[in-house]
Amino acid sequence: LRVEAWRALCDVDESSASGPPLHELSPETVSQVRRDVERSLWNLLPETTKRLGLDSDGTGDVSKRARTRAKLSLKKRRESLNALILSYLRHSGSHYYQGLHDVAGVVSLVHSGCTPLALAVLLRMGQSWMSVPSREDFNPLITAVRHTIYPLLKKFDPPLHTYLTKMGVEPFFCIPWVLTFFTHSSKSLSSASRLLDVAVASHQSFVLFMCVAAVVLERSHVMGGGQMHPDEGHAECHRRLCEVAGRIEGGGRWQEVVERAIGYIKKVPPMRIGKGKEGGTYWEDPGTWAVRGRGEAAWARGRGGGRKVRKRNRRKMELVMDEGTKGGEGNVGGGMGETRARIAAGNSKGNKGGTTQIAIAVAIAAVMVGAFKAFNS
Amino acid sequence: MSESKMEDPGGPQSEADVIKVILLGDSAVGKSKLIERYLMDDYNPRQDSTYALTLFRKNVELDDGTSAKVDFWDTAGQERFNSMHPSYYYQAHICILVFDVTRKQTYKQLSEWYRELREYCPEIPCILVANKIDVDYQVTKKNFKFASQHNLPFFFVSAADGTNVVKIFDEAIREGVQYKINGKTDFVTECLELFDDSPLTAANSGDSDGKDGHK
Repeated sequence: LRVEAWRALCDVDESSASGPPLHELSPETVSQVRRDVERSLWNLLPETTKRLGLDSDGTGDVSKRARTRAKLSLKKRRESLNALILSYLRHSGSHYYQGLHDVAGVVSLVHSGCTPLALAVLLRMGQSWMSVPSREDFNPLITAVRHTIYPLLKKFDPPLHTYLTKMGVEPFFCIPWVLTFFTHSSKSLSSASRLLDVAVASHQSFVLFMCVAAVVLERSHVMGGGQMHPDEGHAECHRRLCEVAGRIEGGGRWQEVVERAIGYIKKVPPMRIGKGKEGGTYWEDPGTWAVRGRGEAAWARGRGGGRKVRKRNRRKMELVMDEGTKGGEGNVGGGMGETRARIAAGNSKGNKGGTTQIAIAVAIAAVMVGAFKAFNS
Repeated sequence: MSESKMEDPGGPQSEADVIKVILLGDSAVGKSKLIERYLMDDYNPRQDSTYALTLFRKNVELDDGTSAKVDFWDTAGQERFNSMHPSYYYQAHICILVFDVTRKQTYKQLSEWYRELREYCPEIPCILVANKIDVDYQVTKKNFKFASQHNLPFFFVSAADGTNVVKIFDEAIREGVQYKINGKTDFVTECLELFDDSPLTAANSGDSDGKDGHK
C-alpha cells in the first residue's frame, strides 16, 4: 500500500530509473557504504534483533535455529540495502553521507529490496531534502541549519530561543534529524516509514520546521524542566537537545511534531526564512535548498516559476496544510490528508494519469489512515 | 519553569568544573562502543552509526577523593562531518585517538586526524588506542610506530571484551584533569574567547555568514 502511495507522491514508476548508471564510485565510498550498511537496520527490525539476542535488554529468543534464520534474513536485507545505495549513488552522482543509509534502509524495507521503484523513490528524495547533505561537503547544510533553526525558534518560541542562545548551543543537535528525516531515532519500521511519508509529501525544507517543532514540543526537557543547575553549560544543554527525537519517538508524538511544523510553515513560508539586510534570503543561495528560483512549487517536483504559478502553488500548499490539519482525529491521519492534497496538486498541474492518480491515492489514503490509526493504537 | 524565568535563565555558557574528553578516529573504529563499554560496562554487538556530535556525561571520583563531571564527546568518523569539528575541539582537555587493528586504512588515517587535532588543540594531551584486539590477540605483538613518532601513550583495547577500556578512560581523565589544572589554553580557544558576541547572536541578527561559530 505504502509502495503505491510513494509511487504516486513521488510521481515515479519502475522505468524512472531505467537508464544506465552514469557515475563511478570511489573504493572509499563503496567501503564506507558497506561499513554503514553492516551497522544498519537494527532499529527497523526489532523482531530480528530480538531473535539475534541483541535487543537492548538482551532477553531475546536466542535459540540456535531462530538466530541462524534471523542472521540470514538480516544479511539478505543488508545486501539489498547495499545494492540500493550503490545504485542510487551511481545514478544520481550524489555524494554519500552517513545517514543516507538510514533513509535508504527504510525505502528498501518498504519496497522489499532493491527494486527499480525503490531506486526511483530514493532518487526523488535525493532531489528533495536530501539534496543539500548530498553535496560535496556539509558546508551548505551547516549554513542552512545555522540560518534557519534559530530564526524560526525566535519567531515561534522566543523564551526558548533566548535560553539556547544564552547557553551558546550551536544548532548541530538537529543535524542527524535533517540527515535522516528523524528516521535515525525510529525504533520501528512503522514509525520510520511514517516519517518518510511526511518527507515525500512535503516541501524540501519541511524537515527544518520539523526540527523546530520537535524542540518546542520538548521545551521543558530542553530547559532542564526548571531544575537547571546554575552552573550548567552548553554541553549539558546540547545533550538534552540530542535526546529530543528519542523522547518524541518514545512518546509516539510524531504527529504532534508534524502538525506543529505545518502550522509553522504556513506562517513562515520557506522563502521568507533568513532574510538578510541586503534583501536576499538564505534560500537564494544556490548552495542550499534553492527554492525561490523555481517558485514555492519546488516542493511539488521542482517545477513552477513565474508569479501566476507561484500564486497557484501557494494555494496548493494551503490546501496541503488544510488537509493536513483536517485529518487529525487519529494521530497520523493528517499526513494522509497531505497525501491527498499533494496528489491533487500534482493533478492540477497536468501530470500524466492525474485522475487515476487521485482515485488511487484517495483510496490508498483512506486505507492508510485506518492502518495508521491501528498502528498508533 | 515560569515564562519570566525562561526569559532570562542567567546561566553561563560553560561549566568550569567539567573535563571534556573527545574521541577521534575513522568511521566504525569503535569510538562509540568504547564509550558504551566504559559508561555501562556493557557491549552489544548491535552497532549504529554516530552522526554529528554526541555527548555523554559521567560523574567521576578523582584520585584526590574529589569528584568531577566528565563529558565524553563522540562524533562521526566520515570526513564530511569535519565541518562541525571546531565545536568538537572547543575547550577539549584530552583526546583519545582510536584506530581499528583489523583495518590498516584506519591506522594510515591517524596522521590526518592528529594533524587536525593539533590544528585546533596544539597542546592537549592525546592517547592512542588500538581497538578490536579481540579479533586476533597476536596483533598486540606488533609494533605501531605512530605512537612513538608522536610520543603518545599507547594502549591495546577491546570494547568487545573490555580489555583495557577502563584503564584508558581513567588515564584520559587523569591527563585531562592535569591539563586543566596546569591552566594551558590552546591558542584557538584563547582567540575564540576574545569574541564577546556569541556567533549565534551574530548569525541570528543576519550580520554573520555563520561560518565562524565555534561553540
